[in-house]
Amino acid sequence: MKYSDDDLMAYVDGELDAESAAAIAAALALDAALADRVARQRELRRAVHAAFEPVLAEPMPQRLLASARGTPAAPVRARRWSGFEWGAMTASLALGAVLGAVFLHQAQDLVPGTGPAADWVADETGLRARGALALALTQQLAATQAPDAPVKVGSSFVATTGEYCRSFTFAPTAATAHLGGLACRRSGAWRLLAVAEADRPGGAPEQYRQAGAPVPAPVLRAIEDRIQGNALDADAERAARQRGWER
Amino acid sequence: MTPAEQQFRAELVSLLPRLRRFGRALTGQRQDADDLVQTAIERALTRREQWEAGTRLSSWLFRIVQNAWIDEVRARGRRDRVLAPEEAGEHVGVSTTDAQIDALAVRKAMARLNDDQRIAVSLVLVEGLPYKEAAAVLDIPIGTLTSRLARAREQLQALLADFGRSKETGR
Repeated sequence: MKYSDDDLMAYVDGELDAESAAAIAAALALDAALADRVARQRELRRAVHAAFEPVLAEPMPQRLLASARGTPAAPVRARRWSGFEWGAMTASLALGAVLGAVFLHQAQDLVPGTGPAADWVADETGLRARGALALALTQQLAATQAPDAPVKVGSSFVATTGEYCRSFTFAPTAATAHLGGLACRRSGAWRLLAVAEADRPGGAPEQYRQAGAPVPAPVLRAIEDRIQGNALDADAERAARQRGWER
Repeated sequence: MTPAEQQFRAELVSLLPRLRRFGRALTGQRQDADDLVQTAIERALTRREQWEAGTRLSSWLFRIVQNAWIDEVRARGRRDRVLAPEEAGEHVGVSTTDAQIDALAVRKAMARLNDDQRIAVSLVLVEGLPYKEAAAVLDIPIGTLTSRLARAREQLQALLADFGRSKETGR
């Protein structure tokens, strides 16, 4: 069978149905010229993607952040959260509904090192996981994690931007709601792309509360916006951990 | 600020790196790309009500960026847009590994595509959107998108082969 350049382009872009893709994959083994054409298409796709990939890791210009957040462009004086205990991040949830989006919005005001260890820290490119959260994201596998782990990893996947991402939830405490988020591996660190509170536990039937931490809707949306293909299965997750979550 | 607006702004912030990358692919220039993203942020915030919750915010924002870019191109006329990218920038004089030469060549080749082709490549190859979604962002049929993509790829292959030859002959 002859394949047009359009067929091969769609194949390389992952746009063919499973049957057509399988037919091309089988033909590649038998036809060196075809394999060469596919390799050239693949290499072009890789090179174009790679040429712009470094932009993601660049520091975010303050003016863009300020516009998007609706804060003044001038540096904001650091706010001291001295009135609160930061011993565990979940303790801060006693604040109630102020977290989630609001927390992301205010994260710029948190100065690293002003409080005891928190689970994330703001830097020039946004929020970076550290402490127990960073450890869980790097070490824990969804299949084998302890049922009572303070941080639970949800699904892991490859993002359309090419990096590994993992969703996570914090165990709720008596006084606090579930908190969940999405972190992606960039430049050797876990970047938090979304953090939000789930619906108040009081609103959910008892059995759902017991079943484990629900993923907040904004985090689900953030996952849907980024996921490429399906979530990793247990083997793929383990393999990704072995590679240090670098692709 | 309402909770809905805070949520919207938080998601916007999390998508900024991708918007900048998309802008860079369209314009080839850091400053132009960031100006473009700035314009897009302002438009997105003004038109927040028009975004339908449940649809992809990223796609909606890509559409705003690309419309802002088309406006910009029209306003400037075609004489001085998309020059060779970042040649005075960070990639000159630093270590010239193969990967970097590769990236610079790709960006130069991208700058030579026509706008329609460059936009298609930016959405599908740079941002990784499925055809269906990229076509929806541009409000064109999938067939139109794929034919732009195919022509763009032929052009890029030819340009990159050309750059490769001139490098070998030392031109």
